[in-house]
Amino acid sequence: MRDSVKRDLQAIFREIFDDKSIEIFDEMTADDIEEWDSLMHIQLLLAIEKKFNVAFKTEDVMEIQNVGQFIDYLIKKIGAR
Amino acid sequence: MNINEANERLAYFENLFDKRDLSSKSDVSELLSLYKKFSKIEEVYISKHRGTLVNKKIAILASYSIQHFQYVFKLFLFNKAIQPELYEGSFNNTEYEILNPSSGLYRFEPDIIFILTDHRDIKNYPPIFTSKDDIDIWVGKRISEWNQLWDKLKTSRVSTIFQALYTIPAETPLGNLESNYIFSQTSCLKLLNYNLIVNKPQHINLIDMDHHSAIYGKDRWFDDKDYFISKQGFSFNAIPHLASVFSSLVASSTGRVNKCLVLDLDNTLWGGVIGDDGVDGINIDPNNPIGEAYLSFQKYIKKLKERGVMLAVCSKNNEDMAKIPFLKHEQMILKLNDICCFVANWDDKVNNIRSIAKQLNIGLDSLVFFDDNPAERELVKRYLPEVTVVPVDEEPAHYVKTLDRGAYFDWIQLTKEDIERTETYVANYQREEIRREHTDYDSFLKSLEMEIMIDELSEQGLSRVVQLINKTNQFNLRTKRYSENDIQKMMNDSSNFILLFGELKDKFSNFGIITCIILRKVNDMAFIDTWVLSCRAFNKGVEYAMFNKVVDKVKTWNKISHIVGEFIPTEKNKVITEFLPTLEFKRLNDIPLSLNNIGGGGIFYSIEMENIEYKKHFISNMIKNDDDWGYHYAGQRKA
Repeated sequence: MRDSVKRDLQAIFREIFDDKSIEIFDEMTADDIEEWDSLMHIQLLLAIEKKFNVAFKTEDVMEIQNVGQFIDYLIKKIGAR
Repeated sequence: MNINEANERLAYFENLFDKRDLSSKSDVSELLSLYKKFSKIEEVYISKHRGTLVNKKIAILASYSIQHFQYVFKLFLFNKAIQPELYEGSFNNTEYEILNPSSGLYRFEPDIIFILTDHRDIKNYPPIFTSKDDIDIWVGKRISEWNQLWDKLKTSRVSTIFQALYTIPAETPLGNLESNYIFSQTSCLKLLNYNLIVNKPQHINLIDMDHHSAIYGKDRWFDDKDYFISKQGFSFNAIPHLASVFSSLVASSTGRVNKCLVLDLDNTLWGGVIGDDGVDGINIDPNNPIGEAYLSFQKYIKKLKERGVMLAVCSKNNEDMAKIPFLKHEQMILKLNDICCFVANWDDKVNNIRSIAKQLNIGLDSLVFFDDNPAERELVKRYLPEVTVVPVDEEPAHYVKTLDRGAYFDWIQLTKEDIERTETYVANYQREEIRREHTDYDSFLKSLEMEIMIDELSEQGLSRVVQLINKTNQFNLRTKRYSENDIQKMMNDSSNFILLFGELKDKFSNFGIITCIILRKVNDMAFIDTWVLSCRAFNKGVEYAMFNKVVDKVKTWNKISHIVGEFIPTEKNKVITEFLPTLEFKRLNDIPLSLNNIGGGGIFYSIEMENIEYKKHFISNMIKNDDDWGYHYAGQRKA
């Protein structure tokens, strides 16, 4: 499951940042992608919510800072279904 | 991105914007990512479409973050052929931006300002049990604060200002009592909105955000999580809705307005097919749910007509047959004299719509097409992309809603002339009749018994003249758009500007104000800065009457040796390409030096004062007294 979540998440990153060369990795943070600022972060959240049909709580938004945390969160949510 | 990808992307957006199809996209996430993609080819797109795009500098002042909104807004503007340059006011600093003459706002020199308000801006709501008198004081204080901002904006050079009314939040700590006590937050905001409407000056255009939020659904409009995270005053999901509304307003303010609703008949205005079912078989029965749906649609359309939207019929029918319900069916709300142009034949609708535009003398891009038949809609969409095609719902009971929500007729103002215009078109039929009786055009013109009143512009005619300048596309020498503020400044500068307007009537109808000329003194020249004439008054000699008056007025300026005109060609003003030469103006090979900064890159013409001869026409001078002005501007028509 982790692989498939990661694959979908990577597709979102590539779409949102309009960059086909992005390869995501667990420790990846905003520092690793130049355009990943607070505005893009919100766009990312919106796109993930839509794709995976989840709704981040404010607390999740505050806590999730890297790609690995996104994946962990999504696995937890999808697994609970 | 390699060159192929870039070209592919450019083609994608060209196709998207060509079809004006963006409003069908309502997912904010998709739109944000679209903008990201567009931003990389934005410059290429602009340079390729320079000729058709209108450049607008738009400032948005808000007490909350609007960064995501801006991106989507931009896309919607491009979708309407507007090339925006946006300025985001410094966060929560609307007053500073407006009051401080050296603020970023004024340095940006916007054409259009949006002022967005939020109920959270107000920090001192009246406490519980505040008396009515004290509430009035509280409201009065806020209005006087706004007055100060409005006054300041009036002296600025901004053409168009939009201000959002307050959106009343969904939460009601007093429950149902909110609307039973004047001191509740809900009541205070309603009173404030009401007083803003009552007190707003003409140069402020209010936007009813509470209405938009209600249509959208307040629970979806406000999302506290979104607000806490992003500090945007409305939810992310509401962005596309608002961007669509705002972009329509911008389009209207640049003169891109829809003027005419083109209607199908069978299963659009009535249930059934007149040719098959006969006048007794069609359904507009008030006692039948389906008949009621069609009647309520007719009722709504009648209201559009009363506010000045022209109605045209485009139907596949025999003309006589198509007219029967209008003449014989007593339930019909729409009558033949509500219709400016009635086209019923077996030709295809593409040709017929072209002919309607031609007969009404308006652009295809000012038509809205409403037809229940999806095949007809597709055809019109494909062959007449300029025409707005309404995506009609299969359910006739939803026709009103579909037409209403499309906001196709979101004009910036209403004028008496718009409303009388529909009458004028009907009178045109009568005029056409006498024209057939008269063998030569001069005797036809004489028989119309036309009268004109030409005068210098004053406050009375101002709003109509501003509208004329901003809406006229065909007889418009330079297509310069001016705001009310701009015009008022010229009116106050009579040593450099003469502003003339003309009001016309004939024995059939009162056309109202149909023409305007702005003359600008530049050294020894009188430069025709603006000359517009409404298409309804073409070919009547109005332009000659105006020109004669121009000559008289120019003589009151000292030492003017010649009058100079410039023709700036556009897609739409081809009809007057040879106009200045018909007034004996001679083409200039070079731009007069002193007009270097004023000219608009067009073709210059000049005529020596001493060579001018008065032009012949058949319009007598209208005698007016003060009472006559009254009916015209106050809206009360005399018998």
